[in-house]
Amino acid sequence: MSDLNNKPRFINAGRRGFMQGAAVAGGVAASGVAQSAETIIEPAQDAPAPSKSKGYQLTDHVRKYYQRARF
Amino acid sequence: MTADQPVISVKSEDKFLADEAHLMRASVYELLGSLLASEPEEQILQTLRDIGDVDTGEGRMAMGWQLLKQGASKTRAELVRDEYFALFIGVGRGELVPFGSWYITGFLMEKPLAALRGDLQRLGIERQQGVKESEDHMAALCDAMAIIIRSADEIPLQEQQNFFNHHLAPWAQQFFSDMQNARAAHFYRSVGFFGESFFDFEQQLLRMQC
Repeated sequence: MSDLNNKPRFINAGRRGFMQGAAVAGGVAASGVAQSAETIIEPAQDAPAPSKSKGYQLTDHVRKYYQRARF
Repeated sequence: MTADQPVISVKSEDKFLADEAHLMRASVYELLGSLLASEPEEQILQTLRDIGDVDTGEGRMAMGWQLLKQGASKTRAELVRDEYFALFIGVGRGELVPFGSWYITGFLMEKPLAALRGDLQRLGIERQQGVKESEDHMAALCDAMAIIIRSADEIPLQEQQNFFNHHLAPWAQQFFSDMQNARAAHFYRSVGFFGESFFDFEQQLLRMQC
């Protein structure tokens, strides 16, 4: 699919005080882009143990219903 | 580790999938915000036409995607431009008034807008420079939700739920229902159906997650 420019038009996309560095790190992690040699990988301290909880099922539903929004 | 080296947290599979799902939610809010902020350009219509096969048996959201695809396939950018004008701008007034304050109180710029502005200020979210529409425009609220979702590291899920419950839930479904029934609506009927089913699912999702 083509790349859509669906960025916010009425609201300023840059929040005041928004931590740009954290956003960039999160974006890279989410996209699965290979890390550079200088990147240090640490396990998330609050990473919960995998479970088949209600939240997990909800995640499956969201993925199923919203996946077509992956423009 | 030195101070200038970026750190990437390795997430659990659960967390990774949940984050990915929330990014998809943000994308849907951005799509709706885009369709409501101005008439869609040809590129957006083509993307909707290119939506892959949809099994409408999956539920109302799937039906919504299918209708968006059909709606975009049956129109052209210039027709949607006229439709958008009739629905949201009009001569004097459009057929629809896409502002929360209007739906909640019957008047523009009333107390719900003041409450919204307070919440946006607290969250560090502000109106784009040069935009004349007030922040309770549905497009602005969809933009704000997308930003809140994408800022999950700073804004907890409970805040998402509160924002949704206070500023969208009271009127979003009625607004999208009205859109489906608007005389001037053709392509936007599909947007109305999609929006109504999306907000219905969002309401259930946020209620269950918090």
